[in-house]
Amino acid sequence: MKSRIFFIFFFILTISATYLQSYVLEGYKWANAQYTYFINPANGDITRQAAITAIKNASNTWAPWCPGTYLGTTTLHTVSNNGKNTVFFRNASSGNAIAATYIYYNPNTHRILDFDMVFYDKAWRFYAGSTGCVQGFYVRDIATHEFGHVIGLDHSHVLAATMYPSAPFCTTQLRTLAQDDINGATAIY
Amino acid sequence: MRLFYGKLTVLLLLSTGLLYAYQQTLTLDDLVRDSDRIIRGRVEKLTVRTGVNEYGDNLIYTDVSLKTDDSLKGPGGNFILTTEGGQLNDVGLAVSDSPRFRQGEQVVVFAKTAGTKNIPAGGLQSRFTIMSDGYVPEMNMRYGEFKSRILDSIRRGGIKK
Repeated sequence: MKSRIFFIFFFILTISATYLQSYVLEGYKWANAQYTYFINPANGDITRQAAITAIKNASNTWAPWCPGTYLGTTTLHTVSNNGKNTVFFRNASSGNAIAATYIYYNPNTHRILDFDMVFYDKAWRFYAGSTGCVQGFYVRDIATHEFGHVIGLDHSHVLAATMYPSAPFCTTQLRTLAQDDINGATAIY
Repeated sequence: MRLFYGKLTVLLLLSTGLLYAYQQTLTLDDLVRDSDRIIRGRVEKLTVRTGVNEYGDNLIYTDVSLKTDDSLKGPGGNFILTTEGGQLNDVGLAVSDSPRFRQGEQVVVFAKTAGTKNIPAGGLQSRFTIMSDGYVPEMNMRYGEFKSRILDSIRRGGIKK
C-alpha cells in the first residue's frame, strides 16, 4: 500500500514538474509594443531574397503582440547599441549556438533599447523554405525563436515551445508558436 | 505489488532523467571533451566592463570570479570566467546563448580557454546550479552523482586531446 501511495505521489510530482514549467520572461519589453529592423542578407547558403523572406516571416509570427517593421537591407555586421536593430549572418562559429540575439535594455525602465541577431553561418548550413534540409536548419524556424527573444521572452521549459532552447536538425516546428509561446507573449504585451 | 510499483517508480525516474537530458544539445561527453577546466565552485564576485571582440562587436562583459571547491578537470584554483552580457550603469546587455551567474551561488562550470581568457565551453550548458541540499536541477540528480558521471566521462576519453 505504501509503495502504491509513494508511486502515485511521485507520478503527480513528476507530471507537475515536467508540464507545469512554462515560458520565462526576460523582464523587459519594447516601449510602444513595436520595433524596427534591418537585414544584412549576405550569407553562404541561400539567396539574399530567400534570407530576407524567411526573416520577415519569422518576425511577423510575433506581430499580433509586438509587430516588427522591416526597414530594408544594410551592410552592418557587428553588434552594438547604436539604435539600428540588425539581423545578419556571420562567417563564424560560436560553440553549439545556431544563432544568438543581443539585446540592450535600460535596467531602470525595463525597456529595450536595441537588438542585433547573429546567425553562425560557418558552423551550420542554413536553408530557405521548408523542404530539402539535410543536417542544417531553416532560417525561418531559427529566426522565429530569436525574435521571441527580441520581444522579451527567455527560454521556455516546454519541449514543444518555439522558445525551448534547443532544436533538432531541419525542424519546421518552431515557425508555429505553441500555446506556451502565445501565453508568454500575451503576458508581456 | 510493492515490486510492481517500485519498478514503475524507477521507470518514471529514468524517463524524467531522459527528458531533462534532452534539453541539452551537447552531451555530457561533448561538454567534458570541449572543456579545459571543470570545477565546482562559488561565484565570489561579478565585475562588469565594456569591450570589443575580434569581430568588432561593442559588448558588455561580466567577469565571473569563481572560488574553486572541487576541481574535476584541468588546473585547480580560483579563476575568472568571462561571459558576454551584464549591466553597466544604465545599460544592460542580455545575450541569448550566454550563461548568467549570481553572486554567492554554487555552480559546476565547464570552461575552455580562448587566448588568455576562460570562456564558457558550451554556451548556456556551461553552468549547472547546485542547490543548498546538493541537488543539481539541470541534471535532475545530486552533485555526487553528477561528479561521478563527469569523472567517468573523463576516464572514458573525454579529456581534450
